Amino acid sequence: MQTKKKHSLNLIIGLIITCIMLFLIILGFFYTPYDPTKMDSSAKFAAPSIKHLMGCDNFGRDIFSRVLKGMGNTFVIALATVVIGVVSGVLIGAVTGYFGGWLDEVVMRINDVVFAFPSILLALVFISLFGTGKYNVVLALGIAFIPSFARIVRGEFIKYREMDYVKSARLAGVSHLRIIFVHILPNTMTVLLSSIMIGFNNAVLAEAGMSYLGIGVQPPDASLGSMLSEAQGYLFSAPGYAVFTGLMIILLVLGFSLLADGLKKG
Amino acid sequence: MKYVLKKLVTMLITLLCISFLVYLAFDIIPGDAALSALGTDVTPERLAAVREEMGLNRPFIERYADWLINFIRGDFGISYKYRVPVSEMIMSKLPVNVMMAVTAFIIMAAVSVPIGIYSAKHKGKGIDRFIIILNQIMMSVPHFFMGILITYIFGLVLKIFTPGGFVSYDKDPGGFILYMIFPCIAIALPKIAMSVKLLRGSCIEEAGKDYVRTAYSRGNNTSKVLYHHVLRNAMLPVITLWGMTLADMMVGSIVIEQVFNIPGIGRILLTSISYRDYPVVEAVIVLIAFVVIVTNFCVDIIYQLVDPRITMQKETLNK
Repeated sequence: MQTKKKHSLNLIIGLIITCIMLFLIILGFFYTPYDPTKMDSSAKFAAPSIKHLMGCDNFGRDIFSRVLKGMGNTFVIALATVVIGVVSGVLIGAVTGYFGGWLDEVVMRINDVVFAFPSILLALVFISLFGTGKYNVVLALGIAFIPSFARIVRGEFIKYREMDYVKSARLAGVSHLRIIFVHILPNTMTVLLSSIMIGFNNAVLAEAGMSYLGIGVQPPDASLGSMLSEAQGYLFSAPGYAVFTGLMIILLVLGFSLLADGLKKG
Repeated sequence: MKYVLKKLVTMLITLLCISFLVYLAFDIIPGDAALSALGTDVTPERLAAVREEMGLNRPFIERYADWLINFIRGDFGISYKYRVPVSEMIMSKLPVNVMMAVTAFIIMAAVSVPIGIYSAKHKGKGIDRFIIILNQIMMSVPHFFMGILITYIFGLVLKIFTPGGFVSYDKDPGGFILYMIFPCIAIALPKIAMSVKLLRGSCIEEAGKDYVRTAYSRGNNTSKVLYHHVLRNAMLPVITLWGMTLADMMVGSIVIEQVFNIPGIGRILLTSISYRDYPVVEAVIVLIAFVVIVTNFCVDIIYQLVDPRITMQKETLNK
């Protein structure tokens, strides 16, 4: 009984954090207290106050406004990455898992090879060939994430394809396509949903890492990662810049991982 | 033995596939290698001569075979930008990264096992709750941000080390170790959280099984049951995680390098990416991939030594 309570607590805290973060992200798309690129030399390294919630950076730009914008960019990139990974992963996993046979063998071997490769490295190969920038990061990470989703979906489809209800649907003349998408796919949702959230977190962390290294989002676009690498230079004079930016990454990831945890066990 | 052999063959095929795919990608996509080596303002005659010299006129498979054989011999080609052998550039820096990854790994193993067991033993008590919450937070901290925090707290506030003041091992071994311990901790911390969580969970799960009750009924005390029976089984998922972790730590060391300003393989990789110095990028990536895959192979073998049931299970699963 007690454990049950704790899981739902995870879910609730995760939900609260995620909602707050989503609210801030959506807010950042429409409204920021200051123009995130406007420099104000009188406010250089201003300490956090009511006027500037998180203080100001080296150019006197309002950090809170910049964090809002950066978070939006990080979120959109992570979301796009996960969408690419999930859509392709589900298609590959569903077809190979459902039909099996030689196609399954070949695709899964290729998947194994890509899977053995750390996803950041794969993204690095991609970036070094096609150049840096927002869209290339999304593509690179998206492709890198396909195998993990394909694997999970394939496993689920193998489990369900032998079940009686699938067999009887087949006997009743339901097409393969309908069985895959209408009869089996909804059953994989619980497993898929929590892995989507974990995948989203990995995408946030990977994007932040790449932008921190300077091979992700390029200026004038900012993401939480690129802001951190900028903030590191002013660690001594304005520690708040780095701390607040990092805190946002932590909260974003924490919210989703609590949600994923709660969903898995609840 | 059959299992080991099968795994070995799979590993070799994977290595071959990866090296082939990377070589293929870097051969097709960037365009003319001779052109990128020389720059755009070059006479056609010179270009043709260099292409001949670089062997670009030969069939692809032949070039790949040559490259692979040279690679195995330790010759990774010549850097476009610096005009020195890539192996020279990489091999002097690689030990720093390997050392960071291995140290972080040792820290992780040494710290997470006692904490995980302790937490599982005191399940539901205040200290266990505290560890769970701390874990959850630690897992969400990206290691480079952890590095920045460590730089701030230990470098700027407590002044235990000078941020950015990397000293090489030859000059000052003591200073080197003192400096390197911080990046290693930064890499290890999120992984410690992950393995504590996993170990705690699997310990509690194992402790509820029948064989544990039997062991108790035969008169064993708690610590005996824990160390002789439960831990052995509970470690299995943790070992799998650790196998993947070592690879992550290798890659993580590339990022952490930038935080602590350590001259390692990561800086070479980043500058080569921005200068489009493909032989270097290619070599670094294939090398890291090799390290990762060989580690995974070792983990599979260790796993099988710890739990002989795996051979059977995996074989039936694959069917």
